[in-house]
Formats: sequence, C-alpha cells, structure tokens
Amino acid sequence: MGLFPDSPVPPLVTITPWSMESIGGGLQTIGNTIGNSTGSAAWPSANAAIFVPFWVFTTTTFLRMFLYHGSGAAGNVDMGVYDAAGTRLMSLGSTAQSGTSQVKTYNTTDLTLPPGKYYMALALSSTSGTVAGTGAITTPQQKLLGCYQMASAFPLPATATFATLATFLRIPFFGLHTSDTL
Amino acid sequence: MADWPLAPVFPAGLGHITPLSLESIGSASGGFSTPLASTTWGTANLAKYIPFRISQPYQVANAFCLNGATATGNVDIGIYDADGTRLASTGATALSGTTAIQTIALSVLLGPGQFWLAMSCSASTTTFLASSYNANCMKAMGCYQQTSAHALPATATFATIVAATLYMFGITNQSVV
Repeated sequence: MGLFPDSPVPPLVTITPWSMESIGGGLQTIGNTIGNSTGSAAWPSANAAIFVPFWVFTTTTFLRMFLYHGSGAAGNVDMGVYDAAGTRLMSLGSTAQSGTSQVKTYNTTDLTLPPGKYYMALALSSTSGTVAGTGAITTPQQKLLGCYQMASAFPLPATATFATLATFLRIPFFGLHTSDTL
Repeated sequence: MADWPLAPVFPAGLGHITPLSLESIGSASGGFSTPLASTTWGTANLAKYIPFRISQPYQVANAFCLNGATATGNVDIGIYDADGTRLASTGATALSGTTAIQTIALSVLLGPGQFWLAMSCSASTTTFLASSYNANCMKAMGCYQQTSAHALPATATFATIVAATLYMFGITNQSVV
C-alpha cells in the first residue's frame, strides 16, 4: 500500500450516461452506437421520466445540465438529479423545448454533490418532443444497466418512484456539466 | 480495513493518456466513433482541447501524435490545467514521418486533478489518424477548440467545438511510445 491516500477520480467536464461514472462501460459492452439525427427518437410516453444512475467520486459542483435535442422540438422538458433513495436534489422545472439537432445547455441551480450514487432524470411532456440517444436497447439490457422509469412524472416530482423500465427503448443523451458553457 | 477511505482511483503507471483512454473521454467516445483514418487537420492554427483526469501524480515524459499520410507544417502538443492555464507544451515542432507515431519530448509532473490535452497544427492539409465524430457529441463530452492558437497560447480560450473530428495524440510517462 502506498504511503499516501490515493486521490479519488475527479470528473471530466461532463457526466453523461456514456461516462465512466455512469453506465458508459455497459453501453459499450452491449454494442451501443449513437448517430446524429439518425439517433433522434420521439419521447416514448408523455410526462414519463427516465432515471439513469451515476456516481460522484469526489465532491463536485455542477453548474448546468444539457440535453441533446433530436430532430423535432415540442412541449416542455424537465431535468434533474435525485439521490439514491429517490429524493429530488435539484431540477430545472418545466421548460419549453426549443432548437433541434443540437446540444442545449439549461441553466439549472448550482448543485454540489458529495461522493455517492445519484440518478440523473429527464422527462418530456410531449411525445412530439425528440431527443438524441442510443439505438433501441432491449428492456432487459436497460434493466441490467440500472435505469428506471416513472410514469406521470412531469414536472419531476419531489420523490421518485422507481419503476421497472417498460416504455423506454433508448437511453437519451443528456447530463450534467461543471462548466458554464459547452 | 484500509487506513484510508476507499475511492475509485486510476492505478499509476498506465503509460499513455489519449482521448481514447479511461482517464479521458474513452468510455464515452467508444460508441460514437468511426474507425481511425488519415484525416486533414482542416483549419490552420486551430487548437483542440480534450479533457482528462488523473488520481495519482503522473510524470509526463513525452507527447506524441499519430501522423497520417501528409506530414507538413508544425504541431504543438500541450497540457492545460482545469482553469485553462498552460502547464507545458512541446512548442511548434516540425512534423516528421508519415503514417507513423511522432514522439516529442515533454516533461512536466502532474498531480491529481482534471486537465486538458491540447494540440494545434499550423497547416490545414496536414493529416493525422482520427475518428469522425458528431460535433454535438464532442461538445457533450466537454471538448473545446480555439482558432488562431498555434503555437498553443499561455491561456486557453475555450470555444464551442465545431469540427467533428477526434485526432489521435497524447502524452505518456514512458520513454518509448
């Protein structure tokens, strides 16, 4: 053993489902790919939310969240962070989705997270809204990755009720970042 | 029980750090890329910044780039801290050798933390091995660019990335690449 304690792994600028801190290793293992507009998909169920697990290894302050919009924008979006027990720590609030085929940064409340396990959450109010994300992944594979869903979760509730994935076939491309801009 | 609280760390002595490394955007980038191919730099004097992090002290011994079929002009490879201050760079160095790794001496001791790998090139026609990406994906992975940045500036000005190409370059604590 070394004489000094090892430093925890600091985050990169962003944490997304593809990050080492989240389910990135799993997504690569199951052969996930993501395209540009070809990866765009309609939100599968109005007002439903998806929860994607991630870890923070060292106390980190996140300044913004972002969402990779798909080829069509409609309705409103809400994004946020929950602790492992399902308590909402921060959320954007219902915000109109505007702009297509772009990574859009949303100015959320600064959030400082100590080391631990959390969930990033995303919900859309309309099935006409689209987001970029993975190709179709089987529900058992998504379950294997530790993702959950909640119906009737718009805007994101104060307490999440984690339900088995059923309506989500794709992992959306969204996340948190420690910088003011991307 | 260990004397110190356990936390994920990157083991020391892994050698090379490139954009494809676990320390960098490797886990995120694997699902987005095309196979490596010789690709033009595209914009003279453009710099690209790729984030990476380490959890133990790391003595950089060399920088390297993967030259493609055309090696013209100069390249500058450097490391910036999280705030965008340049810690070390090779300086503008003539490109030499095609379809081969070019190693350039670079010495700096990095402590644990988050940093930026940076590369700029003076000629738009120079080629490096690269993977074609989606610019939005590179943006979402925290990559930036800067125009008119050759040689690499003392302070980076991070601008939204536009060019959707991830070039293969990096640093190593090894004497041989």
